[in-house]
Amino acid sequence: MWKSYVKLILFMPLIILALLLQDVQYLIIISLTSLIFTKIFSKNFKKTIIFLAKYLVFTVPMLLILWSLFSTFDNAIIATVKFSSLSIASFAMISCFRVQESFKLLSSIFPYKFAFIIVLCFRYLDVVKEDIGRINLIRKTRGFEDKGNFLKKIKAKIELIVPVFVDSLLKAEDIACALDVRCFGIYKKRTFWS
Amino acid sequence: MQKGNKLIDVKNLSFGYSRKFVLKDICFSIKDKESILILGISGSGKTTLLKCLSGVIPNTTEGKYIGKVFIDKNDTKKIKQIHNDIGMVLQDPETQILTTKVSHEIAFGLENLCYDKKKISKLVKKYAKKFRILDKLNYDIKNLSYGEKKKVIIAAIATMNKKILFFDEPLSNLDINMKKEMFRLLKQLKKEGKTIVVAEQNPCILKTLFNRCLVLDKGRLVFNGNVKNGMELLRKITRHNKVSRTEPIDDCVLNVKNLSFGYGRNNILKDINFRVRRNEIIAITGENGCGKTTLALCLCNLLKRKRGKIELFHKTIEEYESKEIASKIGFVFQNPNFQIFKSSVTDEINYGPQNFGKIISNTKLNELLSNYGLSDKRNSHPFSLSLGEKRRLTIASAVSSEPEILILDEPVFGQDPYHFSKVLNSIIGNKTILIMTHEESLFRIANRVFEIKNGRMVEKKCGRAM
Repeated sequence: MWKSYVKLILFMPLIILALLLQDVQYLIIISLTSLIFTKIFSKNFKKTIIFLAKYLVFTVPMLLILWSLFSTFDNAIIATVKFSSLSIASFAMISCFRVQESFKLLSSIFPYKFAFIIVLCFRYLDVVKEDIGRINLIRKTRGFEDKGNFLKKIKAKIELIVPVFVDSLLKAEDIACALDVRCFGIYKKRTFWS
Repeated sequence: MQKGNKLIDVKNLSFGYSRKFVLKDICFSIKDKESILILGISGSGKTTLLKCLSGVIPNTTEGKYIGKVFIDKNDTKKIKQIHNDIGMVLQDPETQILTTKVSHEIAFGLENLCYDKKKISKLVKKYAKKFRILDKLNYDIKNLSYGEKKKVIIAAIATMNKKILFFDEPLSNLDINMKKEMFRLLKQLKKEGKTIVVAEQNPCILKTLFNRCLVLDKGRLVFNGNVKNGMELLRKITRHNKVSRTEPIDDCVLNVKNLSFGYGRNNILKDINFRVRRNEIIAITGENGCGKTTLALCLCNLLKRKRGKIELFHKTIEEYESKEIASKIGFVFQNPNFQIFKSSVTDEINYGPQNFGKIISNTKLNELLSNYGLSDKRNSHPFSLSLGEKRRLTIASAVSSEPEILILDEPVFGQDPYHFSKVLNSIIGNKTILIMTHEESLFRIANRVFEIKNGRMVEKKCGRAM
């Protein structure tokens, strides 16, 4: 348990500082330190880095362009660095916690039922992601092609929403049943075994 | 028959999710320490009955509910929650997994019951030993096979020391070794003095376990007595239109040579070779997750990391454009909810042909709808259909673009035999069909049966019923 508190104590100041500071060099130092912490604590450091790189490649140019439309370029740079260091620090923190660990930590702050909702959300994001991939494949077998201009592509993505939602709702019923069967929530407290 | 007091008492139970009743006027009771088998074809209301018995239905799922169910003389409607003595294992283990590690999954229920840590460690070890998963306690559940996941879920519920256990299709999608293992587990649980209720359409090796059998047909309880007579009655119910086998024409439509798929060490498919002739029907079986769907996706050229050669109509598959392949191979997946994109039945059937720039004529559309038993549903929303209707719609919408090869993934699941045999009769004879299935009854219509085991494909002797 103390280990997760250590992680929290190390990462929280970084995130708060990233929120407060305005200087580019300090912000870069913050994101580097959070990456070092990830290297120490995280089990799959490589995966985190790849994810972050993908994420930043998309967001950084977009922020730079949008911000410089409404303000000067200098401001745009500061805003972008601030945003990216903030997201690096928070993603790094999330990647350092394992599911069971974060459940334990969250339920020491919130009621455990509420904490479990958050944990379950993160777990089922993966499932939904898999479902989307599969639906996309199925559409291709029906002769659908992922070509055309930007608008058409977005329209094609919207078509996916209904099947994904319906299936997730049906799954939710099963999850509710599984939770009930395991007596989840019949007492106000629960033990955390690990 | 064992003596004991009435543990579960069902009085005039009727239930429907919407307007139509799924269960109609059901009356029976279950005594303590009895083990009961509920038989019925898919769509007869087995799962719904189990949910009613366990109290999931008036409490978690809503609907039209008439009658009463008593557990230990408590009305399920009044308890407001599933009774603490009840454990229920649903069909799909995937949705019941709540944590990431095997040991955490088994301990989850005990943690909720506020047991202290030492006791939990002891119980987890004890049950892992009993269920033969002791060496997998530290595994990530994601990496287990389908059957092992099922075992973990049953272990997780067995640890909680519940009196009554419900199992929904415990044998579905398992291979014969896993079925034997499941038989052993259920026998052990029975020995421990638990009341066991199993819903299953094909109980095969489990038969000897039960003292009593209930048969459901279209939501009605038609039989309540010993297992042997019940099985006979079920055989009568499942009698359907005869589907005749046709002889294939000797013209190679699909030729697979040395196909492998996978990353690094864990190859899902290894060195697969087979030829398919025109109008041939081939059944491919194997445990869930053994790579049946992967093989089908490879045949459609939808996966990139494959090695080997696939010839479709005497040309390698890479020479075709993706749209051309889609027009030649129709694909029906297992989960119907994933393949519905439009807001009405006719639009859905038109979706494929529209993508290929074809238009299907009105007469053909009517013929399709009547063959698939969807004539009166033509304007309704696909998601408002029942599971069987949805599955027939997905087959119809694959057939509508007139592919020459049809791949069906578990086509029987959720289907009533009358409509399904009609569907089969309409497609057999002028199409090459690959069926991915566990259902032994489908082997009879197939010209050849293959089994995928550890990534390799072996031809099975036809007509050998398990």
